[in-house]
Amino acid sequence: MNGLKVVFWKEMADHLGSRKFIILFAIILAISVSVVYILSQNISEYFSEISKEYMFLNLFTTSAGSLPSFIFFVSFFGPLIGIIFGFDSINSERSRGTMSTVLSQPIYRDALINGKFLASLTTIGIMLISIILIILGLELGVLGIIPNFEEILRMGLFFVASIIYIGFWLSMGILFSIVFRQTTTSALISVMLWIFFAFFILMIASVIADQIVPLNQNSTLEVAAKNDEIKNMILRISPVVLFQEIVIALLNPSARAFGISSLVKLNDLLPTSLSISQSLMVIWPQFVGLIALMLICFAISYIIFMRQEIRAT
Amino acid sequence: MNNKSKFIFFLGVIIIFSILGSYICAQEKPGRDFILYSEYTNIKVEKGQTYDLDVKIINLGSKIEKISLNLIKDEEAKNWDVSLLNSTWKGFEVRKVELLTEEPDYSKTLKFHLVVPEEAISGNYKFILEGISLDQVLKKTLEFSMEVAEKKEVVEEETGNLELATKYPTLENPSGKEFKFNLEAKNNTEDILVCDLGISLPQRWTAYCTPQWRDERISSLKINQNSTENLTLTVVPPLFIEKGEYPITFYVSSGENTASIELKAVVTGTYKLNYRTETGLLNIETIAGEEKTFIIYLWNEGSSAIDNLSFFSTKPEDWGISFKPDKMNSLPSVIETQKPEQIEVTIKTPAQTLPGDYPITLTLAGTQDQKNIELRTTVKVPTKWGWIGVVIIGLILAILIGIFIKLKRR
Repeated sequence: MNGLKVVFWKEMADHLGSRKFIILFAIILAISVSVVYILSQNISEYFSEISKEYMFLNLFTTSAGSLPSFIFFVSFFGPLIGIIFGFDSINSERSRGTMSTVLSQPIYRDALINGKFLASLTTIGIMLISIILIILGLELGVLGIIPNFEEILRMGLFFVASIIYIGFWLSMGILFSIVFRQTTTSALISVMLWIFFAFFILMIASVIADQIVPLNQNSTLEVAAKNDEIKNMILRISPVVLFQEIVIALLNPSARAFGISSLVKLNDLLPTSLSISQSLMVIWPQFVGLIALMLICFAISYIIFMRQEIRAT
Repeated sequence: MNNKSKFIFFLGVIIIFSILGSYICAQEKPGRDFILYSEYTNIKVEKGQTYDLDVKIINLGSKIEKISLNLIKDEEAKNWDVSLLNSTWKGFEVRKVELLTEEPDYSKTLKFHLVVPEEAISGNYKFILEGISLDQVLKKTLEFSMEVAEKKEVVEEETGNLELATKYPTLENPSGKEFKFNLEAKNNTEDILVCDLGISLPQRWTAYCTPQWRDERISSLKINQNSTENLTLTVVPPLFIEKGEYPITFYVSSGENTASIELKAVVTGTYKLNYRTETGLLNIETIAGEEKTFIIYLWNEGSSAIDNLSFFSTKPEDWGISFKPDKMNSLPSVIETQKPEQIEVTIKTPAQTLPGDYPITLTLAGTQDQKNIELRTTVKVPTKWGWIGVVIIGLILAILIGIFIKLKRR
């Protein structure tokens, strides 16, 4: 435990002092603040679209003009942060030759990898929560909207989901940094996977769905729903999509379904808000999937790292 | 004279006479004649009554006639009020009539107006209507005879010194509504009467009396001599009452003077379904894929039974809603049953139901009344999937910890 603590605090100090952290933080902060600021400037324009019950939450999900919404930034650039913190965590030490030095200290291997992972995750958490709090403060100050208890709870869950989501990308980055000796290789592969899950999966999913259930102009709604269902099933391989669905359900209390097939069922529903537990139940599979992905990814990297031979070069 | 010459002689005589006759007749009618005519010239009259008899004067001649008319009364009929009026509704007296020769003005209809005095002695009275043409040449008379009969005491019965009357003695209302009778109390005496009011009602009924258009409830009433007071009698039936006819008798009395009137209140049946859910709330929580049973209490607040009750529902697709019992032949009034009926409603939602609020409508329809129950059904996701998720995460964590322990300290 002592070793873990040492590694953790050392890594934390490294991260928080590093230039890449400051630059990343500045970029994300600037984007988020500008989104919220523009949104709050044009609040009257969006006022009619926003349900008054959850106005505060809506500010996170509403996109202002050409600027996408805050959750869009998190879902697309969160992975990048995770990758940046993870891709060189092991192999850079190895290439610098510091690994064996560290391990010659009374520090165990598991303490090293756990400490690195936890430190990175904590750093990301600090970053996220400070951004959320800045936005919250801005909204409070500019708009004078006070979030209600449920909104705060939902935002808390959103924070947890974001941590898990970015944690997945972090553990994936660490995995690649263990597997590949070169930092460039691990960085490239991580970014490639990110691009694949964020962008290419969309195309692949629709191509496959169209192959299985072809759509044309005469297709009935049922066929379209079937097609959409298949597409969604494929899309849900991607953690990006999982996270997006989670966030939509969490930040939009009236959301309860994704895809055309479920839209058909919506007809009978009253457009009321769900309670937070029900919202959570709606995206619980996605949530579980995301947690599992993160844990499995980390477990694999842990196993590989523990079995690796480390020689002093 | 033989037969043939006899026949010719008679024929000749007849012809001569007929020519002569027609000549004489033409000579006798110098184109001037009129008649006085009435349908009824002998009538029976009653004391104190007024009669109008139509009298026609018709010009039969070919000249315009001016005829003065006189009414000649008997000595005994001196104090009778008789006059000859024209035929308009409120006629004026006529002394002279001018008749033209052509239609329509060759005849006039007049009214022989006759008021029989109260104190007339029974017997026969004669009136002669005399019409004399202006040049006194033509003179016609028409005789009326009137027989005055004694008033029948039985028929009269002197309506009493106090009288009660109403235009609408029978009123009909659904049960639960009060009846308002408008009554007239009439004092025929020459004194001011203070009357007590009384009523006899069916059991459990109540009533009160107010002056018309006013709110004060009164139990006695002052009526001036020879005048009428308007009253409103409000009769309140008991809250729950069967349909039927209920007789009511209303009295006024002042000393020995009494009057009563029979009234009737007809209560028609009412039908009013009412319901309550077990909790009194109109929302139900259920879990997708599971059955939810709740109870609706149903009763008939009306006074008569509602027949052929059946239950329907409008609901989202694939939902199942069943009722137990699913119909009732008759739902008697709650007054009879003293307790509501229980209906078990079972809602089955399909397993894939999205969580949220769904509106469903239950229709309780009988022949006489129906009721819609709008329910909001809150469907929740079954929590078992949540626990399965937790178990999965727990498993993965356990594996991770297992790995930690196994590979630790190298």
